[in-house]
Amino acid sequence: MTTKELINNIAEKTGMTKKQVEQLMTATTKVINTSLQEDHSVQLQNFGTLEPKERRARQVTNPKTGEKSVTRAKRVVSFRANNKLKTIVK
Amino acid sequence: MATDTNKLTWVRLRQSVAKESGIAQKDVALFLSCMIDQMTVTMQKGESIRISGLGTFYVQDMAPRKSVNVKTGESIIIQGYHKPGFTMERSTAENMNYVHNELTPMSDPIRKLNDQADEILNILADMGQGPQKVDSTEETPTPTAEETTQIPTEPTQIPEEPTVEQPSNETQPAEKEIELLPIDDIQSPPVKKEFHPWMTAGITMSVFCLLLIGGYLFLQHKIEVWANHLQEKVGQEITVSPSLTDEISFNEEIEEETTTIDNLATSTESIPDNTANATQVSSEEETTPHVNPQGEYTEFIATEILAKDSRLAWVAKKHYGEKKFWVYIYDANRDQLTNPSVILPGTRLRIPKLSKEQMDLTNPDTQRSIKEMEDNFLNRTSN
Repeated sequence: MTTKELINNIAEKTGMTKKQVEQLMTATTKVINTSLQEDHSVQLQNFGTLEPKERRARQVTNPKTGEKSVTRAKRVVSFRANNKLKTIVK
Repeated sequence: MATDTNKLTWVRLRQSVAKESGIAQKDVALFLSCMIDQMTVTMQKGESIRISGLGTFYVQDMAPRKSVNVKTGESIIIQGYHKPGFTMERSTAENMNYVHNELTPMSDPIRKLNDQADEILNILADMGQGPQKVDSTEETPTPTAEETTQIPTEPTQIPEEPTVEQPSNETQPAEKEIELLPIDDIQSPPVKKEFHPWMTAGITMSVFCLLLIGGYLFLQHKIEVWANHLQEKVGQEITVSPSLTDEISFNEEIEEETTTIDNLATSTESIPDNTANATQVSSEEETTPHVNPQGEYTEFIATEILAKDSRLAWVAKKHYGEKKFWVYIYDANRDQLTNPSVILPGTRLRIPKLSKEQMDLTNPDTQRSIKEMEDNFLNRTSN
């Protein structure tokens, strides 16, 4: 499912205009992104939490050449599903 | 992250979204709950959701595995389940690491420069000379050679006067700020970033144009050759000669044009052979369905409407409990599917009822037949 389909579905269900829903969608993604960027996790009710996490630099070997190199330390977003969602998807 | 006091809770998310979009909180709450509803419903179906600007939520299929009860030492089988997962989009990944990069300078040469500048500042402060000398170092931050030559000669003075170091620290902060400015300028390489997209776009465009031209010529030629073949079959030999001369002149044109399209010219020359083979291949394809006698299924257990991101193997696992049996499903639905790896969402699959022999994986004969069918299907599509 793409964002477009999601917007269409939501507009159908709530009775809002597509434009309004699209505006809300961009606003939500922006808010979530900025919060994650500032190192704060985001809670989505009945769904789960998006958490920023630190990934340390680690040594890796290229399986083809056997070269050893070190990856950069970076930050990633991890998703922890709510128990409710876990049981639904199961 | 467990003790995240500034966590964006549901209420705060609603508030900030309302602020951002300028829409009433009531509507925002309705929208958010509806969005989560839709997302859970789609994930329940096993489909993935791609939210542009954030990432993709997907459902992962976890296979059953063996494990050991730590207390008793018994071996248990943990049953397979579906697990929700998330991957961030590239833009978010870049955003996430943008701040991080600034906090810790990543590139080594710049860090070295920074360290060297600090050392020089220390040394100068130790010598008891104020900001007047610092200005001189500020003028030469870029030529690293000078700095590197200065360092080995002067650090020897540090151990001799360790007591003077403390006052030097007081003068540092203000000087550091001045010193860091030129380094920041070096750190940001916006010119390179702007260059790349244009270059790549230009190259891809030119390659695309070349491909288009090549494809057009190739198709034209192939159609001509095909027409010739048809005419030969009919037996009208007289009409063939003008088109053949056209063909020869066509080849000459290609050779004259450029050296870059030489490969294409060679490929066009080899076409007659291919088309000659094509007739043989088509006759082979006609025979292949008769190779497997198992292609006839009379009883069907169920019908399955394919979801968007589904695979035949997944359908097979759902109904038979084994991924390998996708061959039977494909075999039974050949009229609807042309390629096992290309699946159109919404197609109705009939799931055939399998005999015990067909389901028996321990039997080497069935294993062989499954493998033969698999090879057959995959090879056919690769041709």
